[in-house]
Amino acid sequence: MLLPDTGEVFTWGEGMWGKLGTGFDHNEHEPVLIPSLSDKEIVQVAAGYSHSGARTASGEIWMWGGGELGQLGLGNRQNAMLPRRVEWLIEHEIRVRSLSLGCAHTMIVSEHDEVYAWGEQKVRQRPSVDMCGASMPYAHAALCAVQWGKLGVATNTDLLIPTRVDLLYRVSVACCGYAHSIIVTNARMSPPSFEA
Amino acid sequence: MSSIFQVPESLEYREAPHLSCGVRVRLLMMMIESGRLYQWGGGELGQLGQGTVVNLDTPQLVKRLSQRVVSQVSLGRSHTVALTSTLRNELASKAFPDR
Repeated sequence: MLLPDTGEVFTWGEGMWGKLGTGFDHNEHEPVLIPSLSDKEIVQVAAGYSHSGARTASGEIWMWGGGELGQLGLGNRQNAMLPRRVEWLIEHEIRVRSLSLGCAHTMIVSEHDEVYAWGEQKVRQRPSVDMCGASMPYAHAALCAVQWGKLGVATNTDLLIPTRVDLLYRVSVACCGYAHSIIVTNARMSPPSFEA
Repeated sequence: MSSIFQVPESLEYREAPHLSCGVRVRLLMMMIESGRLYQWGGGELGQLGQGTVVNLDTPQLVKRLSQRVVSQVSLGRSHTVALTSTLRNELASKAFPDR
């Protein structure tokens, strides 16, 4: 019988905002186990500037750390000292296949190749979604704005819950930087729900 | 011809399948080699996992995880999140009986 690969999650370093998920905000100089994630079948971990996250084999997202700018996706602006599940994704039956954390924003790619973003928006101008690399045969790269409007969503407030980024193509990769994001779409795959 | 990247001497000829870096005052680097996690760079907040707050110029094994197989790591601002694999621990104990 093949046993499930139940990974364990360890954190260390700066503990500000509770981003080590230990229940405390002090620094840890050696790896410490996050016991509450040990039975969750974690398959991916991610660290941002102010927050941390993990993805389970079944596509759930658990987040902890700083939440002041909505970066945990829990519907509020509170820090989470222990890992908390992003219930909005469960309620909307969105299973996640990849997770990326930036400074104070978060992006996921769903099993249906769509991107959802949440967290700090800081719009001082309209978000610009530029299509570039149109001559590339395999992948169109959609660059989601720079500095301001990094969530790729037309809003001028922080997003406290996951919000879908409207794109014409299915997404292969979504990656958060410090204050920008990059989404790589695949023009060879049929659009998610786009009638020609 | 010189390269802008210098391979630390202690890592030469080793397989380095996973490499990640974060930033604070000094660059924080890590890599996984055969499930073992090595870190170096800025350590002023304990982010190198060595039990101290010193900076490291060369890669050092994160000793507290040395009996585990590290399958993935991610570096944030001065903190680290790592995933270990218990299943592969069993396989690793066969592959690396000296651990």
